[in-house]
Amino acid sequence: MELSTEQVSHLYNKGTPMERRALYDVSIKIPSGSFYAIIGHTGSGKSTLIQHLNGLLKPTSGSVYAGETTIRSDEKAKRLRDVRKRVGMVFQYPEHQLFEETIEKDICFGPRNFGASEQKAKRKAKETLQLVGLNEEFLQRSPFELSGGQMRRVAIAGVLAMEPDVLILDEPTAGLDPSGQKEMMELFATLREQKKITIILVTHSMEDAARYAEQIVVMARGSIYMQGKPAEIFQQKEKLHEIGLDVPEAIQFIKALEKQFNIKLPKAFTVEEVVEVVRSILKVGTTP
Amino acid sequence: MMQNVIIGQYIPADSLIHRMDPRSKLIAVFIFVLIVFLANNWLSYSLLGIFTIGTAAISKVPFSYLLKGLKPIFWIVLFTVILHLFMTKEGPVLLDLGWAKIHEGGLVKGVFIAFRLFFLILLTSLLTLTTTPIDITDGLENLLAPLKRLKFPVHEFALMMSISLRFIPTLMQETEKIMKAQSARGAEFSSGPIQQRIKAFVPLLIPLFISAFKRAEDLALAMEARGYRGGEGRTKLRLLQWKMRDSFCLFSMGVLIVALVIFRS
Repeated sequence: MELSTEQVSHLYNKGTPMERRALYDVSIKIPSGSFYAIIGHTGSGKSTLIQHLNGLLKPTSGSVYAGETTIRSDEKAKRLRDVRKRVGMVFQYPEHQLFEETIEKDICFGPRNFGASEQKAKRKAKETLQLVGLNEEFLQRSPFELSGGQMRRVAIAGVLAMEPDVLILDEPTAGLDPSGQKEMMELFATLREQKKITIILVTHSMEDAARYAEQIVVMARGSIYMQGKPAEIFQQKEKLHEIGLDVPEAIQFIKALEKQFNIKLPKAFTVEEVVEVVRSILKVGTTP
Repeated sequence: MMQNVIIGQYIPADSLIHRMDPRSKLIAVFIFVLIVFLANNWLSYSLLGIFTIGTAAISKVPFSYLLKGLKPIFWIVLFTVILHLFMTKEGPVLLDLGWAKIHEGGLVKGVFIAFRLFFLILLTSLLTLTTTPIDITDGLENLLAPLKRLKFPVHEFALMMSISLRFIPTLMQETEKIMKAQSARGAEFSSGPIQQRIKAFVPLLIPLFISAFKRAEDLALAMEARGYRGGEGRTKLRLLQWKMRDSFCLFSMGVLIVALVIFRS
């Protein structure tokens, strides 16, 4: 499902003394099956933008297109249900939304709300729990006796069980340990490959953006600041510095090497690519 | 729904009412709550009305905002008015519906009660809209200080109040966040049959309670870690200052009382 926004602006607390503008004329197009990363400082409008994409927020002006549905400021809530089913949203710290007695019931909450039969919901619960790396034994346990990382997985399974076409992730790895972060990101990458779903990732990790995304959208002060492939974005170090962002460590490392030895090296965005580059230099060095 | 609750919110502005000492404001509101019941005819009610609207105007809080805050109590007011219409049997009959009669006294009483409620809510919300929570608790603690002799835990009481006031906005934010998260999973909070809507609040309330308890525990720990020991020998960063305008405020309350006593029938 293709998602796009056209000249979307959003005002919080419209008509009160606390009125605050969060988005200015944002236009963006996210094709079906792509992997987008949205980066930017806190308060740059990332969260506001993604909440427009599944109809949780309605634009103050402008339009959002989700598949065949158009969302405008005067839209009725009824028509947004279909959008919410197809565009799954994993909020920051999703484990805070768990509430049921058992993990199975909690995962079934979404599918049941969208009209799945009890049998189907239960089957989906089993499947998605395995998908996020927990085994069947967990189904009958209470979500509140799990560790933080496990709770996060259960919460994400709850969204995946709705079988969305698009998955929006708002900092899904925040607060996880390093191995947990890596597993989580690998899970999303596999999901995309296997189920062909679109992934929109909001992140503060330049490394994740460089490694997984096809397109990066940089937001600043409620507008789109830059947009392009990771290679294009991370070439413009100065422009990123201006809004308080930086390039991935891999690029910093290559840049430092180039400066130290006064040589020109090929581009590398991930640790693996850096290893490749370093190995090629060493080879050149050892074979006369 | 959430945007309409204005109690406990503070609107920063520079006005006479904002600058007043919280103690004078608290006393004035307390007096007002009592003397509202003195009014019993059109003259005394218009006097109260002028006073309330005048105060609201001086406070520089936008009127539209105040009216929005009155919305949630609209139904309670309507209910009281209707109750009075049918239950008070005084004066000549205005309308005979066969199964019930509406008396003139009922109509007048109903309208009076509606005004009384509106004035009360308006003035009390003006107190919280123009005074920061910390000022209110400081004022309260100061006013209640004499009760310490009676072993009443004034400081703890003030602290409890400031903590709960402080966390109203936080809880509201949290509510909105969880509401959104559950709506994203297809929960419906604002449509559907009433039974379903009540059931829809379970997925909202449970996470809310869990995070509130967790937050309370964190706060208690943070306070203990910084050696919090209650009110004994504690000094204040901001001292309360009683100025001319505060005396004037109390004086005008006195004038209002005298005027009400004269004008009421």
